Order: sequence, then structure tokens, then C-alpha cells
Amino acid sequence: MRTRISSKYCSKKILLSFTLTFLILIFQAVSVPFSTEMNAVQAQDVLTISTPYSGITVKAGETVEFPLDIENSGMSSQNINLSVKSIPEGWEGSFEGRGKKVHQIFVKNKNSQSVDLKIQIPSETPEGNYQVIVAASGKSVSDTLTLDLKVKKETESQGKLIAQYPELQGAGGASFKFRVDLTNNRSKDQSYSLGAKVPRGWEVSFSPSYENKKIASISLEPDKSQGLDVEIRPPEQVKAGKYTIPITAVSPNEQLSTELKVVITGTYDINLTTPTGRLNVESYAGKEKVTTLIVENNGSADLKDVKFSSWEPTNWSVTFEPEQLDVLPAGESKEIKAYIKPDNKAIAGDYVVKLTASTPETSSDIELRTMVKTSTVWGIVGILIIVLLIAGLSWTFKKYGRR
Amino acid sequence: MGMGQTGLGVLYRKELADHIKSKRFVIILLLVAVTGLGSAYSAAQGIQQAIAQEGNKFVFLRLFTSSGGSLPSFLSFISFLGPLIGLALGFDGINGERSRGTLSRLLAQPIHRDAVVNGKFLAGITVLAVMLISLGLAVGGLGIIMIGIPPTFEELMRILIFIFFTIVYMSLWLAISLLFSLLFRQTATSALAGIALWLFLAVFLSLLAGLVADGLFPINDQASISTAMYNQQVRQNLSRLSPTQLYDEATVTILNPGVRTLGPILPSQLEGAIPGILPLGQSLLLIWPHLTGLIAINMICFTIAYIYFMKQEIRAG
Repeated sequence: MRTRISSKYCSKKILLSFTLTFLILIFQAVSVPFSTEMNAVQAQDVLTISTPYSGITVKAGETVEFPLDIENSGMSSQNINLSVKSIPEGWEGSFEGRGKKVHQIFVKNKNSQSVDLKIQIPSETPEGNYQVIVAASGKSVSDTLTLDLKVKKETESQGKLIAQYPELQGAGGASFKFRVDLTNNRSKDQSYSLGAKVPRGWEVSFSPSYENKKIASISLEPDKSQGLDVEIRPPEQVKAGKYTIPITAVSPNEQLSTELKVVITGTYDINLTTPTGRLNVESYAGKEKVTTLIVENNGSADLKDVKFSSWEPTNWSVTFEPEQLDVLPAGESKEIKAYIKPDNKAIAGDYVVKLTASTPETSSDIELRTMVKTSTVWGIVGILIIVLLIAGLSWTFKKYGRR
Repeated sequence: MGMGQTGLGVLYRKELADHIKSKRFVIILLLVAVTGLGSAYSAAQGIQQAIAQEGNKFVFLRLFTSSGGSLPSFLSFISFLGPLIGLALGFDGINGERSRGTLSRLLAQPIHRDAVVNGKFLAGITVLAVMLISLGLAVGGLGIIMIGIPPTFEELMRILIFIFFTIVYMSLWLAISLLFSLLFRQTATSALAGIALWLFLAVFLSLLAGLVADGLFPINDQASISTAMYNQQVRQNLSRLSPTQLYDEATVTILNPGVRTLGPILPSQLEGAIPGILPLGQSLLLIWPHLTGLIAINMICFTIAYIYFMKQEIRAG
């Protein structure tokens, strides 16, 4: 090896280069895993899958859509595979774009592409937090996105039972027709049984709008609503007033109720009579005569402002005591007095006096046959005159009789 | 009256017997019976048709008030003949005795002087009463036979009151004729005076009353309703000075329960009135002043006659 001095020099050069190469190799060997890691960090920046609403609350049975955004910031333009990496059992997730199912998208360099993720949540899903992981992977890079779904029962909206006009008014004996809309807001068909809570004697019937059938229950598809006619028939003898009738539609899942109000104005029926039913009175000319009258409320509503009036011959007077009744409760009667005073110059015989009890709603009248009698005062005067004459005659007998 | 009326009974019976035995009484009785029964008979025939048409309320009274066919009603016959009968029974009561010369003889008897006039008057009333009651019963009996309906109690009472009124009315004329037989010496004069008075009261007074009323409250085109009212009132009140008018009004009222008033009435008074009948008591009250008036005139006439007779100087003829 000495003989070749040059070779010795040469060999030194080779050694150096070898050492350098070795060093580089070592360095490289040391640096390879490091650089690999660095490459991965670089890849995340390159491919990004994202959504603006990464956590939402849903209800069981719902299908939710997440708008996904896949961004290619550094790589060459390439196809990106989309996949659902993790999804709760029974759930279904799929990517959609322009109405089609998508599993791969092409993303240009420094560009982004959006795709929808549709997740169907089974209706029997219990409440809780669920995670869905989706992944996007290119040639050398990939990215994942975790979506947070909170399933809550409460979010499921209730059905609705709404009356168009919840308060109706009418007279007793009439029937009341309410229009009620029943809506199923659930995600599946529901059968509602219909019912109402009414006082004794009342009748309630349900029928679908524009149909005559009387129904006890009704089945509704999800998100459908049905108009119902609720006919409420109060009993004949119902008292006037405001009645609240709760109606319910009960399904296994929910109980819907609303209140219907019926304002019964009541029937107005007044009757004027006398205690004995006798309709004739006797009276003397110019003398006041008291007649007892009975005013009855035969209706179902309280009578207010019952006024009494009369028609009587000219120069007669009729007054009532009391002149009016502020209120006469339904079914009750009251005694009043009428003072009838015939004309001073009324000739003897029968007259008609018409007495009326009236309210703004109704009225009743009776015709009293009033017999006017002549006062017996003048009869007594006549007798007195004759007695005086007899006294005068007997005085004459005494004075002239003894001859 | 006790001792004061000594001889009254005797004279009363004597006068009664004189009346009944007299031809005059027979004539009067025949006249009244024929006219009364005749009018009632014709009325009953009319009633039979009326019952079928109008029902039978107070049918029996129509026997006395309704005029069937050509004959006037019983009521108007009695009203017309009543004064004549009264006058006929009494016009020569005193002056007849005087002209026959029996009065002084009569007064020579041991009787009180007033028994003569009292006896004559009472006997006259009795004759009238007997005549009218029997006539009334005869008419009633005829009526029951002809129309077949007995009178109700109220109808009976009304008929009895009517007969009583008639007795009072006739005895009034008897009292007047007795007075005239005292005032006038001649029986013809007293008879004529009685008839003249009767004609005046029955016929002319109402004409006179109409003249006076029309003079005071003339009814012409401009006459107001009150003028017409006053006119009618004056006419009626003047007419009521006549006992004939009083008797007519009273008997119409008592025999017709539908009569409610006798004076003029305004339409306003009829307002509200129901056509109907008055009970007996009310009818009676309506004519009570008439009864009082008739009895009063009767007693006044008799009292005047009595005083005049007692003061008169009677010499033997």
C-alpha cells in the first residue's frame, strides 16, 4: 500500500469522502423519522375537511345534513376519497352532491369542494351524545372530521290541537260547532283517540271536516293536520253562563288538549200571572185597588231590568210596586203589586186593563178584567133622604093627625 | 101609630071593597090584563127565535122588554098605562065623596080624620100592588109556558124590583090624583088636571127640555164635543124632573142588565170597556137615585094632600 504513495493520498481522500458519506448517511438515518413527521404536519395543511356546524342537536328519526368543505391547499390536484369512518350502529351516513351519492371528489390544487353529509338517525335512538367521524384521503394525505350529534327527545315538537274559534255563544238548546285542527308533528303515524270532559247531560261529538261520520279516534301521518268539527250539545235545561269544555286527543306518545268555551246566553221567558190565576178584579170608581201579581222567570237566563207597564182606559192610573225588578234569577218568581185606580167618572161595568212585564229580551202581559162598581155612598144618601121624608111624614101625622 | 089611627083599618077595608066592587076597577084590570098579556105573548113568540140566534142570557127579562111583532113591549105599555091607572083610582077620592055628600057623614063617625085620607091612599096602593103582582105572575107563567125556561134567581129579583118600581110609580100618580081631588071640587076638573099633568110630564116636558137645551147649547156645525155633552146633560136633567122619565130609565136599567149608564158618555169613557152585564147590585145602585126620587115625590105629594085635607073645613053637604 506504501509503494503507492499517491495511492496513499488517494486513499485518504476516499476515506474522507466515505466518512462524509457515512456522516451524511447517519445524519440521514437520524433525520429520516424526523423528516417523515414533518411531512405529516405538512399534509394536514394540505388537505382539510371541515364544516361550519360541527355539533348539532337533533331528534331521533330525523335526517340531518352537514355541509362539508374539503380544501386542497398544497397538493397537486387529485381525487379525494370520502368515507364515514365511525358511525353509531343503525345510523346511516352518506355523502351527497347535486342529488347524487358521492364517495369521491376531485379537488384542484388550492381549491375547495363542498359536499353534503346526510345522516339518518333512527327514531328509536335513545337520548345521548353520538359521534360521527368522516374521513377524506388523497394520494398521500388524509384528514378526518368528528361531528358531534346530540340526540334529544325534547326537541321533537308536539302535535297541535288548535281551535279556530275557541269560544262560541248561543242560546240554550242550540248546539255549538267548533272547528279544531289536529296536527301530528311527530315523525311517524299516530293514532289519536278523541275525548272531551263535559258536565252531565252534555253531548260532544267529533267528526272530520265536511263529513258526517262521528269518530272517536283518528290516525294522522307525520306532519299532517286534519280539521275536526266538534259539536257540543248542551242539555235542554242548561243554565246561562260560561262553560269550559276541555277536549283531548291522546296518542300513545302524546296528549294534546285544548279548551273550548261555550257561552250560553240562555232562553228568556217571562210570565206574568196572578197567584190564583184569576184574571178579574173588582174596583170602585176613583178608588185604588191593590192586585197581587206574580212575575215568573221561566227561562234559563237571569232576567235583568224587568219593567212593568200597563195599558188602561183614559184617566185611569196603574202603578206598580216595585216599579221594576233589577234582576229576576232564572226559575224564580216574585210577587209584585199593581195599584189600579179607575177613573172617577168610570161607568160601572167591565173594563180591560192590560199589564205587561217586559225586559229587553221578552215580555208577558195579562189582561185583567176590571169590574168597576158604583160607590154605595150615594145609595146610603138616598136611603137617608127617604128616612128624612118618613120622619117628616110622621111629624106631619103627629101635628095634624089628632082631629 | 096606636090610637091615632083609630078607624084606619075599617076605612081601609071599606075603600078596598069599594075599589074592587067598582066597575072602574074591572075596566082597568081588563085593560091592563089584555094589553100586558098580549104584549108578553107576542114578545114570547119573538123570544123563541131570539134564543136560537143569541143564546139565552136573561131571556126571561126579554119577556118584559122586547116588543114582538106589532105590539109594544110590556114595559112600554105599563109605562104608558101606569099613570092613567093611578089617576083613575084616585081622581075622585075626596071630591067624589064630597059631591055625593058622604064625606061629612063619614067624618061624623068616631074615627080620626086622617084615617080617611090614609085609608084611601093605602087601599089604592094595595089595589095597584095586587093588580101588578098578579099581572107579573101571569106574564111570568105565560112566559114559562111559551119559552120553556124558568127565570133564574137574578131574573126573578129583577122582575120583583121592577114590579116594586111600578107600584111606587103608580102610587105616585095616585097621590097626585088624591091631591087634585082635594084641590078641585069637581071630579071632572081633577081628572082633567091629572091627565093634563100626565101629558105634560110624559110628553111635553121632554120636548121643552130639548128646546131649553138647544137654546142654551145650540148644536150646529161648530159645536164642540163639550157643547154637545152639555146639551145632552141639560136635556136629560130637565127631563128627569118628570117621574115618567125616572121610571123609564129605572125600569130599562133593571130589566136590561146590559145597561151600564144612563147619561151621555164620552168615547174616552168607553175605552177599554168590555160589553157585559152588570150584576143586580150594580144595576140597582145605578138607579138608586131614581128610586129615591120617585119615593120622595110620592111622599111629598101625599104629605101635601094630607096637610091640605086636615086643614080643610068640611061642612055637611
